[in-house]
Amino acid sequence: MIDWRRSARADDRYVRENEWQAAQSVQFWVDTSTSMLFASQGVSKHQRAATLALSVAILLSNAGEKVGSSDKLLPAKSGRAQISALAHLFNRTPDHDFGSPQADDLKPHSIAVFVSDFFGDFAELERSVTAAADQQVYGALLMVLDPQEVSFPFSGRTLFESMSGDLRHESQKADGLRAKYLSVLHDRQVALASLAQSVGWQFHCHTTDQLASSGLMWLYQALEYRR
Amino acid sequence: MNVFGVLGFTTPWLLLGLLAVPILWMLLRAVPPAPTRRRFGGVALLLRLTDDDLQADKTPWWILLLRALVVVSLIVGLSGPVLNPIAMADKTSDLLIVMEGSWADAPDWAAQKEEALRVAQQAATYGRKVAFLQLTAPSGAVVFSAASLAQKQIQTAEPKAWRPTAGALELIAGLGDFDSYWMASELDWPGHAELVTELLAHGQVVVSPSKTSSIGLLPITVLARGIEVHAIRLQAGKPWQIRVDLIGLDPSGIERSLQTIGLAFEVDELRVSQVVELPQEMRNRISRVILTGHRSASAVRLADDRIKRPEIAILSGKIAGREGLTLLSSDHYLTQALSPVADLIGGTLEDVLLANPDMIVLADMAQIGAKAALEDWVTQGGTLIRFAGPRLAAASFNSQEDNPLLPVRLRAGGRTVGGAMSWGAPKTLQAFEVHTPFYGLPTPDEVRVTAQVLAEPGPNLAAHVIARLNDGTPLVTRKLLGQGQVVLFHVTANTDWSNLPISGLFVSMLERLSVIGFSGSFEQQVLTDNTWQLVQVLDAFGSLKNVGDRAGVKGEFLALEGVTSETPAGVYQADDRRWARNILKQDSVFTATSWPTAVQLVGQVAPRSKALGAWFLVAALTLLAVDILVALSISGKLRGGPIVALACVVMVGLSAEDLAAQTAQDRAIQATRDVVLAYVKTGDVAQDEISHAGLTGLSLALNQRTSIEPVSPMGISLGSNELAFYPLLYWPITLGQNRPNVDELRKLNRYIKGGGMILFDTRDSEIALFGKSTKEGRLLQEIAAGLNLPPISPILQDHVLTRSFYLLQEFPGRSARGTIWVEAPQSSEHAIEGMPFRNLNDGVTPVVIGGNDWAAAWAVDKAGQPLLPIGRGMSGERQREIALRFGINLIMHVLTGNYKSDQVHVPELLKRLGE
Repeated sequence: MIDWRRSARADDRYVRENEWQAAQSVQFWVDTSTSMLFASQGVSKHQRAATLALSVAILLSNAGEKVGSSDKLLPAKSGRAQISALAHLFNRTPDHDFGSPQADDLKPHSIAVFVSDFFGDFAELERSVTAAADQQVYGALLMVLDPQEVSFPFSGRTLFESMSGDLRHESQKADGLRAKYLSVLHDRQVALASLAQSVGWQFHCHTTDQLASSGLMWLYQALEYRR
Repeated sequence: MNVFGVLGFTTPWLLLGLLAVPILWMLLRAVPPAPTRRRFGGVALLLRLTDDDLQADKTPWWILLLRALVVVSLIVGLSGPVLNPIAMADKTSDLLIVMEGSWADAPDWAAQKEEALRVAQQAATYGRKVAFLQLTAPSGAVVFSAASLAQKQIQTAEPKAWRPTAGALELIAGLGDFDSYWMASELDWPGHAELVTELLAHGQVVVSPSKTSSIGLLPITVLARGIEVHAIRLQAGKPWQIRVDLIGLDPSGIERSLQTIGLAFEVDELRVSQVVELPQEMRNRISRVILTGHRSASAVRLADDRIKRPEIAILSGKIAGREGLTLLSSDHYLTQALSPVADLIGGTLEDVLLANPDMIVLADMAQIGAKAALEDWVTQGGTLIRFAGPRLAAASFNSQEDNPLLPVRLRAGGRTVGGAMSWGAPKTLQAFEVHTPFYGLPTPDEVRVTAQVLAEPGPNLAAHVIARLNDGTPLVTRKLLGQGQVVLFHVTANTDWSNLPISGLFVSMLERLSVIGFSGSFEQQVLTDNTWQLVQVLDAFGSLKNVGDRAGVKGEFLALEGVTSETPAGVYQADDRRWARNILKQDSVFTATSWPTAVQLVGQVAPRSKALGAWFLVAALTLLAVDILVALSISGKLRGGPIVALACVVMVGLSAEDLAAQTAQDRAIQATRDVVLAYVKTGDVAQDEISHAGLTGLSLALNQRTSIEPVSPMGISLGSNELAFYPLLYWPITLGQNRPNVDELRKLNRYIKGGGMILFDTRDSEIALFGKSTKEGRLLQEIAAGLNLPPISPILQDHVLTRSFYLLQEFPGRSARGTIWVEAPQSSEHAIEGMPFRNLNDGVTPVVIGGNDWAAAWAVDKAGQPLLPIGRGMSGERQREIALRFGINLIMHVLTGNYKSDQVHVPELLKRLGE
């Protein structure tokens, strides 16, 4: 809008930009599938994911933003009660091995945070992310992995079972598989990174043996940055 | 035993198990190791991946090899492999082990016994029955039985000091078939060949000859200037140096080697001699001659009376200077007759009596200077031989009195026969009677007596006569005087009155008489005439043993028999004569045995057979352990913790000594970081523990009650630890302690000078009453003698120790009796008026000495409870409390000096003391 008062003082026309300060909605999705329960030592991935998500939610809520979940279960609201509701939500009982984000109730121009190990179906994840990006949602993908999943320190004849026991893979020589597994993991990470870049989101991989505070730092800064 | 070259097996059929190994191989190869189950979050990513190596579900070949090796080692180990098995035919017949067991086997007797035991053991493993026969001591019948019995017999077998006899022949004649294993020496003995043929008739004979070369000593020749030693050996071919020791009593009565000489065999010499010049006294003292280094009876030569020669003194009162009349002199013939058999000495009578000879010959001496001394000498066992002559005849004897130095009373005058003025012809000698010492000597006709002195007839005359002329006139008379005797020849010692001195009879008579006076040389006759009793026996190893009462052996028997079990080698005694029988005679030679070709000789240096079974089993176990580790690593379980733990265990095991030794620096840091009380390690483990516990208890009490907070005490050894870190050194005195050496004393002195205090605790105040010094007290004095201690005195009632923390009047420990000694006051101070104490010592007493055993009173166990009982009941506990208070006072005194002697405390002390 033309700012007539200012423009009158000079010859040019000045335009006034107004900002409307409104609380940002940040919608979280933490993967609660059984694969997140894997913990080789220390905390499990789910615990770390939930810790990071809740910490950011607390920070945001203290700053006055609205936090909620990305599916229809908890619409974004401000207040302390929302945090405990989020905490309850993050502790749902897992029902299947790998999950993908539910991005049903994303408000446009809000922020989405997906914290998971992203071992699930990539196509579904891509669909959710692009659907969210179509709604002008800015987001961050935080991949939480276990150090064993990153280094694959196994050898010998091994029978791998998933956390719920449904999936199985037998290997005669696990150290021979290492290179292949690591390359598959790397491909997945590259795919995630390119997906995030393509929609303007942030992506980061965090392992549970790193300090949680470093993951939190990244997550907080990722939410600050909007292109 | 199956023998495959150098390796033999005791149970070879077990080796069939080796056939199963390939089957095992196939089986193991087909069964792979079980997989590990893992929960993994990223299984989704793994789903599409496949393994490279599709064959990996079979066991790798090197694991199979390892396991096959385990099985092979086990099988081989259990089948009892033996390296270098003894090459004896695998028979099952009986075995007779024969050992000669004579002095020729004594040097390597142990090796022979070991070999015999080994052979018996080997026979036992085949189930053969074994018997043992020792040729020098055949014990009853030969019975074939279990090898253990034979082994027991072999263990207790000892060599004997005689050669084998053929007596064993009849023992084995009646037995059935058996094989023989004979451990033989290299020397031949009569009956050897017969025994060999007899044994060959019963079965196979294997002979293991001994490997030590025999050597022996022949009889010693006695020369005028010493002795001559002869040695012989069996085999020539190498030069050989040997040492011969002459053993005898030294002047102080201890038996030791009087002289050592060396003999050398040249390359092809079998016999060697060496003359040893010895003074006559040393020669008389020799009891035996031995070859050093050769433990056999043939290397020992026992000496008897034959080696000794009597000492005879000949005195004749001859005037010196009349050399031209040698043949007329009295002692010429005496000297010629006696010098081969005796050592002659001369001089004046007094000198001769000092030399104490065995016999004194006085040739025509009427005036005797030292009558009493001579009489004493005769009474103590000397033989006095007197010859008559003109002087004796002319001497005025009272024919009514007995002269102690003449055997009979003499008539004045004499008689001459066969001269111009007499009737009759010169007389010859009558045959000697039985009771005389001359019995058995022939009386030749040419011995004529022309003049002699006559004996006074009397009732006792016949008893004294030992030689007569053919008309009955006494020629030689004898009287026993005490333990000795006096003999008078009624003729001269030269040819004036008779031709006896130039006859051989004279020599024999004098020899016989010298034998009486001294049991020295004798002839074969003496040997056969007497019955001899064995007093010392020579065993096969060459050592002499005294034997108790054994039956006497007749002399003829002894002369005829060689060295046997009834007449063994050793020293025989008859009356007061000693005669030694030795192994080798004058004409002995060593002859080597020869064996017929049917006999199989084994070298004793055959390689020892070794059982290898144990090694194979150990190898199997090790490989099994390796296999376990390999299996673990294959299935991925061997990582991280267990590896580190294993490596740690191995490293700790290897370097335990490094870990155990605390470095000096660590110790110094520990000692100086806090207050540490120290005790001297006495070496007695119990006392060191009590010291430690005591100082721990004291440290606990100090921690609880005062501001001093010591940590746990340290034991120090004076030689190796630094003392300067510790304020107090508790030193319990035990009897087994080492006294401190010079360096340690220096360290202690430096410590004391630098302000340290040593608490000496002799722990004996319960028994050291009334100033009696105990062993601990003496030890303390010895230790304290090396230290620079100030003068000490008993503790005084106003010493600062009585008030340095608690107010105390007594200083008990486990006992309450002893007095405490501290540094004496410098000067006799007088108490300043108004002060309850004197200002005595400026510094701290460097030493406190007592015997109350304080460590036992202070001692606590790990829970802090008192360790040792003190006294009884409540009074004991009170005593313990006072002992702790004394300890606290002591430490306070050490650390704070005479602080409580300061005037500032006086009002408080006065108030406390006034209560």
